[in-house]
Amino acid sequence: MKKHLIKILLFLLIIVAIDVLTGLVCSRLTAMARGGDTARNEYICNGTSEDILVMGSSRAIHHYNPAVIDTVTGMSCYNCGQDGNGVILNYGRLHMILQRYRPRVIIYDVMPEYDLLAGDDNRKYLGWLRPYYDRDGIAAVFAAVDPMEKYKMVSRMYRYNSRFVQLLSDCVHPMESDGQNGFRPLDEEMDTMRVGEQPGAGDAAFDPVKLSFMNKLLDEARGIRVVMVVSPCWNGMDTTVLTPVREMCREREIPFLDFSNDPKYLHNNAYFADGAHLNARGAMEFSRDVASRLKR
Amino acid sequence: MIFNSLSFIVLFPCIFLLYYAIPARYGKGRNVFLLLVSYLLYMQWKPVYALILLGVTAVTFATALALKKARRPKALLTAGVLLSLLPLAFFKYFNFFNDSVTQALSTVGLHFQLPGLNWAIPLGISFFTFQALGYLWDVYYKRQPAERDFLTYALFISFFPSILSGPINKASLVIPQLKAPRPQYDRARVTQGLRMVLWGMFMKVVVADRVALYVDTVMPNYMNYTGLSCLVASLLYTIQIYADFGGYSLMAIGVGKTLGFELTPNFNRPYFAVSVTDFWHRWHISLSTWLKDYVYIPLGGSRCSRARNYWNIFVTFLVSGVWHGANWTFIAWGCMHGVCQIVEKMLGQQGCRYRAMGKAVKIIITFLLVNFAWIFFRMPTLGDACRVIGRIFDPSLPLSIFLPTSTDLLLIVTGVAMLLGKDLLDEFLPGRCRLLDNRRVVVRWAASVLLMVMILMTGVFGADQFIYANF
Repeated sequence: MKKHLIKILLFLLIIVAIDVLTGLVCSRLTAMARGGDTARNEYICNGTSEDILVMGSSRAIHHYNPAVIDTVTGMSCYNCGQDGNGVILNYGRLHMILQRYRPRVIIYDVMPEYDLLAGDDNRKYLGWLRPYYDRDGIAAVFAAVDPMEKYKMVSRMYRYNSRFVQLLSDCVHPMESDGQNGFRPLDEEMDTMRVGEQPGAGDAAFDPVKLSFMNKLLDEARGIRVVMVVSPCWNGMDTTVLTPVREMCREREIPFLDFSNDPKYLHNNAYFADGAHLNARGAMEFSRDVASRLKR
Repeated sequence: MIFNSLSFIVLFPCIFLLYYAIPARYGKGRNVFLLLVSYLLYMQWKPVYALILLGVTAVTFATALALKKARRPKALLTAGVLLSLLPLAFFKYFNFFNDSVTQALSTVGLHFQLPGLNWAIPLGISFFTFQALGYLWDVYYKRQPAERDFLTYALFISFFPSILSGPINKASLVIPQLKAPRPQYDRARVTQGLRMVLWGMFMKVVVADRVALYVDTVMPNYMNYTGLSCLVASLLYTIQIYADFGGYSLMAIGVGKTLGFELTPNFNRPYFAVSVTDFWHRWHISLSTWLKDYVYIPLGGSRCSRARNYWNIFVTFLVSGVWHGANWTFIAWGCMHGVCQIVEKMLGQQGCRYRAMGKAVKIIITFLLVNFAWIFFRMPTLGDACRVIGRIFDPSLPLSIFLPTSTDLLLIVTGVAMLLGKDLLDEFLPGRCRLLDNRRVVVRWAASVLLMVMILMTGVFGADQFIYANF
């Protein structure tokens, strides 16, 4: 039995050695990434120096054209939006950014599903933060989402879980550009089949973890001009789900711009790629609208 | 305890070492330890539900003991069965029954409703109830002597590797192992068990949970996707449910093996079945054996008229559907499997007398039939299932397909190809291409290390749930 247990231990030691080695290689590859989401994420966390930062989900990344905002406001802008992510990732990123510099303006695009409502497993929002777990304050984000995460983060391989292929590709031949200052326009035509039903606000439950991160984000950004924006939806939105964020903005005297039911965009096929996302033309128009409100 | 959870990874080595720290001559001491561990792990979720587990155990234990001396054993058996089924019926089927009756009454203008239950179903209740009932029937039919030691019997029902999602073990397989003197440490068995856990974990976190990312995007929002995307999602769900449940079963059997126990095999490459009948000899084997022994054969099995035999098959699979869940979708799924088997029996197509090409065609047809039925299993209502099928066959919809991110696509293809490749080799070239149990140490170790690295690098660790844990 003893001999067998030693063999099992040896097997585990080999795994630990591979784990440490893989962690070192992956961290080096992250720093070397030439494009794609890896380089973009690395730039957001360690390289941004722009006056205006746009944060939010896919509706941020596809809706805010930094070139337009730059032209209208005269301030440099970078789009830090991330597909399928919300306030948990954005709080972590902002926390790292503020350790380097304080941007002049933060435009936060609110998406109720990712920023306010319960329903998803919040661990999925930690993916882009995992490589930066050792950075000051990031472990606390993980602990707030799931106290067990700190044990998983002992594994260096787990920090790059599901990202190894992308990491390699972003170093050798990035499949996606890191965008036009982070912005990724959608060139598609409106696909009405992809329009989901407008979610009813009646059965919406708020996620206390997300709400607490939203509060923390606004608190950390004190002294920075924050603008909360709800970008247009093809089918509109039941805005009662936005009540908590409206309340937070009112308490802190933060401007809250709601374009979700703006008649200029509502059911306007020319501006949309699908029910939730503007196409390049729509993004251009919307960025101009937001920038001009920002200028006022 | 879910095998892909962090708590299992931390707790299992402790359980393993403590178990073997008890000298083999104290077999009873080891059983007490396992019973304690099994109950403590079960109580991790909702401690009070351990009383239900204990209740079902006590009722079946006492009924089995009383059967020998009973003047009316059939009446006693019926009482014992009904009493054991009570928690299952109450927790799992009350709401379904209530809703169905209310709906039926409302169609004739009567509006009456009992308040619904908002309680969680005790974990593994269908599995441990069926295992206990199987024992009771075995004692009644004198296939198994009534167990006199409550501790042994309680461990048989609550044994932690199999309590949540099976396999549904037969008393004749497990109880003798619990009572027999155990070897101090069976190195070969432990190694085999660990390899099973490793491959089961790969099936679960690398294949099932990765594929689930696509399925769970398309299926709940099927109205927003093309028929082709719905078809791909349904095919992937067929893979997902196999990798999920097959992986769980393999881990359960592997964990049992590391502790020196043999549990019932549950899967045997089900998607290489040549007919739906053959599929049920390969899929959830412990449940199909249970249904055969305690439903199909008592109904008369095949030793009766043709019509009666067809009826017996249909009823058996109706019970299978009801067992899976309190929803018309599961009933429809069970009926479909029953009807397919009746048709196969009528046409004499239960086996395969054809050569390679004919066999391949039969495997593909069976796979497609099973895949079609899984749509009913996956969707929340019959209407949704029909609408998904409608979209798949709607020629007016565009032929575009929703693709996941290139990383997800690559990981899905790699995982599914590895699973399919292993099953193909095991099915058609058994013993010819072994990696995890290769004769060469280097190959064995390299394969195990590679698998472990793949699990850590590409596994999805967010989904700490198994599909069958819901049943």
